[in-house]
Amino acid sequence: MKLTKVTKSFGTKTVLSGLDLTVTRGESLVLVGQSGIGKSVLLKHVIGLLKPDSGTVEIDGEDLWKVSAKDRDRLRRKFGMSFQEGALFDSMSVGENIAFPLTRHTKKSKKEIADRVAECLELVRLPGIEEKRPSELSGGMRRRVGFARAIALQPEILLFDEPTTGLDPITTDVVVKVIEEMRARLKPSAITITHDLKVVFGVADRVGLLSGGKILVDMTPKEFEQSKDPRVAAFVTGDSELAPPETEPERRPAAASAEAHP
Amino acid sequence: MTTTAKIGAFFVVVLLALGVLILKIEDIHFGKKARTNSADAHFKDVAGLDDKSAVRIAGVRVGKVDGISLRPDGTALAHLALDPSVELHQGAIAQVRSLGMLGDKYVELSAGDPAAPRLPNGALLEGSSGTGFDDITKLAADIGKDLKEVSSAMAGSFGGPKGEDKLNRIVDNLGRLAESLRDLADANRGNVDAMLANLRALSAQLLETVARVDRMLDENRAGVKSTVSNMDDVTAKLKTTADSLNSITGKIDTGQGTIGKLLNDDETHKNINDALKSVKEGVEQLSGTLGRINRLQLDIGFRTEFASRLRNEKYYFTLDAIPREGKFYRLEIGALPNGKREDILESSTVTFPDGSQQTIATTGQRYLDQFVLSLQLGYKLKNTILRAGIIESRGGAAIEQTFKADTFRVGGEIWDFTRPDLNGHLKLYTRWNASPNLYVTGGVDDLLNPGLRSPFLGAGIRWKDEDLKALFGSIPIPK
Amino acid sequence: MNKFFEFFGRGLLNVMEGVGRFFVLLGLTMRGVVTPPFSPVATARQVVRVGVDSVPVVLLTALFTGGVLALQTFKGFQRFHAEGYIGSVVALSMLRELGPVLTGLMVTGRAGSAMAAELGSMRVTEQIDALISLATDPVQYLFVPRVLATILVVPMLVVLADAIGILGGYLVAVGYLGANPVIYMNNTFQYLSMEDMTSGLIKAAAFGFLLSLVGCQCGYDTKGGAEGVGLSTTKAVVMGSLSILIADFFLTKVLF
Repeated sequence: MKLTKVTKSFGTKTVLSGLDLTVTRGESLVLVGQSGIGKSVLLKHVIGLLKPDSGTVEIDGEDLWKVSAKDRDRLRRKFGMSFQEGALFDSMSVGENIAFPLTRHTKKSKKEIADRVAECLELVRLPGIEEKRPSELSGGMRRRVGFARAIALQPEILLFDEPTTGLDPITTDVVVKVIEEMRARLKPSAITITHDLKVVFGVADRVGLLSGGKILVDMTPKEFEQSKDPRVAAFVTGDSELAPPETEPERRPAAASAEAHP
Repeated sequence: MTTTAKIGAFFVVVLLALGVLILKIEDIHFGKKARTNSADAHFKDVAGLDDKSAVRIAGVRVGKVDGISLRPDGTALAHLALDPSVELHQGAIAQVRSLGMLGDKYVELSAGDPAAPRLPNGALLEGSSGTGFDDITKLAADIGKDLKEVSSAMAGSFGGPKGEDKLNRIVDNLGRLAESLRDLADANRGNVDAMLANLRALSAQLLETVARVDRMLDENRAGVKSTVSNMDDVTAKLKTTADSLNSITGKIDTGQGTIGKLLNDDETHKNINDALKSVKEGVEQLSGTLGRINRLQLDIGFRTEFASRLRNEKYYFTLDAIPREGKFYRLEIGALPNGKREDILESSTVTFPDGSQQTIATTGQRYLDQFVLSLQLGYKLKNTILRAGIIESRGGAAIEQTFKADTFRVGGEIWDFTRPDLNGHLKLYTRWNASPNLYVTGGVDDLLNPGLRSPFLGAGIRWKDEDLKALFGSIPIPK
Repeated sequence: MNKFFEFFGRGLLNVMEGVGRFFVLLGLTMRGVVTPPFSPVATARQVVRVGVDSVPVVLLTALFTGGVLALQTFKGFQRFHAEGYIGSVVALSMLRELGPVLTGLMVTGRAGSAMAAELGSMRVTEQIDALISLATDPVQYLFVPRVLATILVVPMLVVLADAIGILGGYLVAVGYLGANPVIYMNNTFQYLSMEDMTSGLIKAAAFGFLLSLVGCQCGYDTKGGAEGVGLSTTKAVVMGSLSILIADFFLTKVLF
């Protein structure tokens, strides 16, 4: 999976400027960066929720925006994406949410689908809640149901958009462990966005710091922790004195992504 | 309720409602009421009749019009869907009639003589549009045509001075005829007056008698009884009167006396019957006419003319009834100065200084203001308008030529050939229609009589049918 | 002065963008209708939500509209002594005009706004992004059942509204104004033709299409959080009603 010279602006504000990024098979990349720096935007480019102004996004050598819409959906099936708040379909039960990609993209029987749903729920440590409505779940549970839905089709690439933001430390730990377990079982590539160091050190093979529309550093978690680079150090220690001046916060990606899928 | 059940219920209810609406709109019936009966009616004119208009027999609704089509010969064919209970017999006819304020048209059927054989389903009925104004106007048009022929023949024979002579003679004859008619009326006037006077006296007496009886009753309550006994007397007398009356009527019955003869004569009887019949027909035609009167166009006008030499004014009120394009009837009422001529005899007695007296009689003529009536039949042929009939209470005719879509008009009228020592009344004029409703006119009046000849200038207002309708339409109708 | 032009220029651009979006989404919806997967179950669910659940409000509206119509035409027609034509006027107005338009407006208020709210909240909670990430065309998945169901359901509601509106007129004319029931009914249907009803139903289908697509578009293009959803809902009702009234004019011209 490879991003080349990806540039994206919203109005006058440039969020990504000539960003290059490559993730090899089975690798787990964690992207960190200040809030509003464009991490979610980057992730949405990877799966084609946003279309870059310039530059290319390639999945297994196929340019996401040069193939037909049908092929784009085929490429998207290789992904499993988990959203910040889970983004569960609240018109459906938990079971139906997880079954959704299966019923749409496979010809499995009802029994097979039910088995697969149970299996996925077990993997995220929430067995037997198929009949619950998303509104009845806590934030952490919702996210894990979101994971379950993301892995239902056994994707090759997993994308996590801030999987632990707003969760208490214990739930965060559970979530991190679940992610680890999923990686261990499915062996996918993964891109995780977070500013939670627990996640960084829990799941990362590589760590990238996003700033000024580019990946600034690209190193292992160990290097990241010990880095003398002031920007990295500021992030690790949480010292605002060391950080670059705050930029104008980006608009909610949710608001902008309407134009990606016309 | 499950989703499926909800959808099911919804669909069933909607389909039911749809079914009811369609059945009602298309007027489909099942079972006994199902319409199996139909007939076609052939009309010359179905104006106002429409699809789905009602069909009635004696005013009872028995079906509806189910399609109207034009036949190749330019007449209309209406298909009638009828209730199965309707039986049509030979001789059935259809008529287009209207009902109510808005002139809702319907087809009235007469079912025919029940004794006659039944007509099969889908039979073709002869339709009539009723005797209407159109027929009468057609009749009038025929008369007008005849009149035109006569007048053209007249024009042929009355050309030149010889013709004029002839014309004068005819006019003289006509005048004499009118005179003798008047004399006749005058001669009988005495009789009629006497008759009326008798009648008046009789009723006055009757009134007086009644009053007297009243008074009597009031004054002599006690004597009423005797009065009642006197009544016997009176009735006895009345009886004898009645007897003599009986004898008179008996005489009439047996054909004695003039009245008896008249009444008992079969031919008289037939004549009276015929007369009554024609009166009845006339009334029927009139009611037809009134029904159609709304098709008639009416133009109303008012004008005044000022004769500069005679220094007098004339006023006219004009009503044109236009049954169809190119033809009109004109009724005009004019207020004329010097319209009526009266001979006066003045006598003056002069006493001379010597004491002798002499009476001198002078005769003169006085002209009085008068209302005159004009009634004419007119035709409009392209740019030429012809009128003939009565002009200002005398026979006459007129011709007018219009220019530039009736912006200008030049014309002449000639009438009244019976004035003593005077020529016919010829009036030449031109007219400028300044606006659709306003016009100015001018010309020379009484051209052939140097004494009365005068230029004149006039102006008028004219309201056309559409103006009038707009005007009346805006007047609220009181409840 | 510059600000003036800027204001109007931006306004115009916004309008053009909205119109453009409408047609882009219209095209995508059309494509979604004809390409698999088809979703009869989702459509059926929308039939219930848009159609069945709207029945009470539509019926109530139609009943009173018919009644008021009878009352008002009576006031006017009385002056011409044409009271006999009230039935025809009520039926004709309901079938040709008021049935479709009022039902359209009611469904816009009930279902068009609901669509905007639902899709709007799906947008702000990233559920639409989630759909895309699950390789599902959101326009096809969300728009098609709603638009199809609404096109199907509004004419059906109009049939009910027509019937109930005529009933409302009947109740007022016979019950309150004292018209002869038989004559009133005869007059009601005497001058109607099927074309009056079909033209109303064609209108209704067009209104259903418009209000659902506008409702979906407003929800789909929601920006900002909960506030955005509220704005979209309002916009869906305003734009939906406006487009129905404008389309009504042109449809009437075409269908007359």
